[in-house]
Amino acid sequence: MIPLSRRKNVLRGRLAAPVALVALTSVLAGGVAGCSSAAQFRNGSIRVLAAENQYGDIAQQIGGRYVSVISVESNPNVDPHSYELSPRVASEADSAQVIVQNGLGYDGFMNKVEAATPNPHRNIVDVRRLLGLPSSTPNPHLWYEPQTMRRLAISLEATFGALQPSHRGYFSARASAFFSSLNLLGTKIASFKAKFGGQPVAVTEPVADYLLQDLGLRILTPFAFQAKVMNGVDLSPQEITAQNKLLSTRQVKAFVYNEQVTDPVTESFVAEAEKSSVPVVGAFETMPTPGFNYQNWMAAELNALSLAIDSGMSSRNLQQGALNG
Amino acid sequence: MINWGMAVISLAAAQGTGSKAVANGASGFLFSSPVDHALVAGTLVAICAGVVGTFAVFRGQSFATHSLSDIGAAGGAAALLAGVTPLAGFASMGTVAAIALESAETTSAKDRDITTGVLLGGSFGLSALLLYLASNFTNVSGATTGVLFGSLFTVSASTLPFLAAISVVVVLSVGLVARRLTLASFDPDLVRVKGKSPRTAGLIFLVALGLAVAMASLSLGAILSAALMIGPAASVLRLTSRVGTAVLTASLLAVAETWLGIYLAYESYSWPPNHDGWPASFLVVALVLLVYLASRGLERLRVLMGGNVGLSGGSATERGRGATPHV
Amino acid sequence: MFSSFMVNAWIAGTFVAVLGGVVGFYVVLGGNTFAAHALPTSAFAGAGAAAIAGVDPLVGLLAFSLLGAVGIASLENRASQGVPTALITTFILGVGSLFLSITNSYGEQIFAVLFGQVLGISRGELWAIGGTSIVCVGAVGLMSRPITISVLLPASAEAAGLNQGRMKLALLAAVALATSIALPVVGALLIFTLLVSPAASARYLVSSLRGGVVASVMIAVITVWLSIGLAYLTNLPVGFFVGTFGVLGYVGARTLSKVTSR
Repeated sequence: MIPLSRRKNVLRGRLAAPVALVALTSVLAGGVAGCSSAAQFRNGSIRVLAAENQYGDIAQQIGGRYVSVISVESNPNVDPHSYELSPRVASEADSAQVIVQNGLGYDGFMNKVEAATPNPHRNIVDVRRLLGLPSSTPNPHLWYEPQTMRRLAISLEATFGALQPSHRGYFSARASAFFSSLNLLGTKIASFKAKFGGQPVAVTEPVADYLLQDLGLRILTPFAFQAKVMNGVDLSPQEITAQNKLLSTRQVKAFVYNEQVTDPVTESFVAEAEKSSVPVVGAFETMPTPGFNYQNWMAAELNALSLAIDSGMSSRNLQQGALNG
Repeated sequence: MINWGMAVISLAAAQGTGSKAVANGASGFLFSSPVDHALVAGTLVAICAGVVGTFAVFRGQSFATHSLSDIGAAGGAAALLAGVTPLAGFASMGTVAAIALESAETTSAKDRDITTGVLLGGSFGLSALLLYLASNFTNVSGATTGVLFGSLFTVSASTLPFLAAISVVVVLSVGLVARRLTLASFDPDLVRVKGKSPRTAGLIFLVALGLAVAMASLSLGAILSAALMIGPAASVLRLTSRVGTAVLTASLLAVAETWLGIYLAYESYSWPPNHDGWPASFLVVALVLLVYLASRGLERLRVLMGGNVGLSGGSATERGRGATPHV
Repeated sequence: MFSSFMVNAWIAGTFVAVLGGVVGFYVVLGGNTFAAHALPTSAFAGAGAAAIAGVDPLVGLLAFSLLGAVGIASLENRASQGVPTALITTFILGVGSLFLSITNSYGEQIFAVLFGQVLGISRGELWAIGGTSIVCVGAVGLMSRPITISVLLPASAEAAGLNQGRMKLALLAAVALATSIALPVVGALLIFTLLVSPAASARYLVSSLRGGVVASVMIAVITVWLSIGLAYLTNLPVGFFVGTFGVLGYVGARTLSKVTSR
C-alpha cells in the first residue's frame, strides 16, 4: 500500500465515490421499502411462536384449528456466537399473541427479540418460570420430563381460552385428549420402571436425564462430566478413563448420547461403546421431524431404551413408536 | 517419547509437589489411554507448530495464524452443509484464505494485519450465513464448526496416523521453502535476482500454515492451536538469531509445554475447587504465555549485559544491525 | 420494514457504524487490527468471572476487556508484531474455559449475555449504545491529533513528550469500552467488522486524515443500512451482508486506487 504522504497528491477529491454510493443507496432503499418479509401466521387464528418445535407441538395439540403455530426451528446446537435472528423471526415475535420458550439461557435470543418488540398484550410462557424452577437449574432440557408438558398444556389451554372465549370447550376437549395420551405415556413409564428400574446407564450430556430419572434408571456418569460435555470444555483424563471403563467393562446396560451432536468427544464415546458391545441409544435434543409428536417421540425413546436394556440392541435412529404398543 | 514423559514427571516430582500424589499419578499417567493419545497427538501438533510458527512469527503473521482457525470455521460450516468431513472444509477454506492473503500484495506487517482483519470479518459473515442455512435446513449440530477447546483427551487412536501424515506434509513443504522464506524476509530482491519468486514461497508457506492450523484446531481446539503456533516460536526467536536453531528449539519447546500441560491436567484432578480436573487447554496456554514472558525478561537481561538479541527481539534498528540470518 | 424492532435496528446500526467508522480509522491507522479482534474475545472470560463472583455481567466484560487492553498495550511494541496480542487472547479464552468448568452449570446461560442481536434491540439498549458511541467518538476525537502524530511521525512525537505506550493504551481502552457495551447489544461480528473494513477501505479512497474519517464513517453507515435492508428483504442474517460488503468494499477500494494511480 502507498504511504499516506505520497497518496496525498495523487488521490485528492476522491470523496466523490462515497457520495455517489450514498445516492445509490437511497434510491435502492426507496425502491425496496414497499416489500416486506412479514410474518407467515394464518389469518383469524391465535398466533403462537414457539422457540423449540417440541413446545410448538404442544401448542398445536391444544389449540387445534384455532391456532397458527410457528416454531423458530433454530438448531439449538448451533454456536450462539454465530447464530443470528432472522428478520422473519423478529417480525413473527412482533405479531405473535403467545410466545413459548424454554428459558434458562437455552433460547436467550427470544428475550432479546421480545425486548425489541414490546407488547403488553402478548402472553409469554417461559417454561422454567412456569415450573417455578430457580434460574440456577443446571439441566436446561426441561421438556424431557413429561410433567413439564402437562403443566404447559394447562397453561396454554387457559391462555387460548382467554384469547378466544367462544372456543373454550374446543380447547378443553383437546387438552383432555392430550392428557389421556400423556397418561398412556405415564403408564408406559411406570411399567418400564417396574421392569427395568435400577438398571445402570451411561450418558454424554444431560439431554435425556429427566426422562431417565423418571424411568428409575441409574445414571452412572457424574453430572460434572455431563456439564463439561454440554459446555464444550475439557474433560480430565481421569473422567474419560472412568467413563470408558463403564463402557469397556460393561457396567452399564445402555449408553445414551445426544443424537444431534457430531463432535469428536461424543463420537469417541460412541465408538468405545460400540467396541465393547454396549447398546447405544440416540437421544434427540429437539423433536425429530417429520412424523413425530411429543408423546410418540418420548415413546420412541422409551422403546429404544427398552430394546437396549432388554435385548442389547442399539438405536442410532428413532423408529416410530406407537403409544398403545 | 516415553523417556521424555518420564523426564517431565521426574522433574515435577523433584520439585516436590506432594510426593505421594505424584507417585500415584505418575504410575497411572502413562497407563491411561486418553493421556497416551493426547501425548502423541500433542507431540505431532507441537512439532508442526514449532516449524510453521517460527516462520509465521518472524514474517509477522501472528494475526493470520490466529485468524486461520476462525476462517477455517467457515469452511467447517460449509462442510456441515455439504455433508463432508470438517477437515476438508477447514483445509480448503484455509487454502483459499492463504491465496487471498498472499495475492493481496501487502508490503508491511501492518497492512497484512488489516487485510487479515477484513478477510476475517468476511469469513464471520460467511459463517453466519452457512450456520443459518444449516440450522434451517439440516438437523445436525454445528459443534464441529468451531471447537474452541475440549478435545485434547478425546483424540481417538484412529486419527493419529492421519495427524502424522499431515504433519509430515506440513514439515516437508516448509522445509522445501525455508531458505527462500528466510531470504525473502530480509531481502526479497536477492531472491528475485536468483530467479525465484518470493511470493511462490510465501504462498506454499501459507497453505502449509492453513493445513497445520486446520489439523491443530480440529484435533486440539482453536485456542491451543493458536497458542502453540505462536508462543514457543516467539519465545525462541527472542533468544536466538539462527533460523535452524530456532526451528529446532521452538519445536522442542512446544513439545515440552504440551507435555507439561498434559501432565498438570492429569495432576489437577486432585486440585480445588471441584476436584474434577482443570481444563488442559487453559494449563497449556498459561504455560505458553509464562514461557514467552520469561523469554522477554531473559532477552532484556541479555541486552543489559551487552549480548546479542534474537531475530524478533529489540527494535527494528537493532535487528538490522545485530543479526544476520544463518540458515 | 419500519416496525419497532427494525427502527431500533436502523438506529443502533447507525450508532455502531459511526462508532466503528471513527474509532476504527485510528485503530487501522495505528496498526491495531489484531487488538480490535482480541478485545471482544476477552469479554468471554469476563462473563464467566462475573457469574462466579455474582456481579453484573457488564462489570465482568468491562474489567476483562480493559485488562486485555492493558496487557496488549504494555507488551506489544513495534518488534513484537502481534505475538503478545495472540498469546493474551488465547490465555483469556483459556481462563474462560477454566471458569466454565468450575461453574458446573449450563454455560449458555452465562454467555447468553454476550450474543447481541441487531434485530433484538430494546429502547433501553438504544440509549446505552447511543451514549457509548458519543463518549467513545468524543474521546477518540480529543485524542486524534496525538494519535496521528505518534503513528505517522513517531520521532517528533517522542520529542514532543508524547508517550507512545500511553497513546496506544488510551485508544485500546476506548475500543474495550465500546466492545463491552456494544457486544451484548449487536454482537461481536458487527463490531469487529465495522471497526476494520470501512476504515481499511477509506484509506485507499481518501488521502487526507479528516476526509479519511468521514469516508470511513460513510462507508460504515452505508454498509449497515444496505445490510439491514437486504437482510429484511431476503431473510438472511445481517452479519452475512456486513461481512460480505466489508470484503467487497475493501477489494473495490484497492482496485480503484490501483487503477487511478496508474
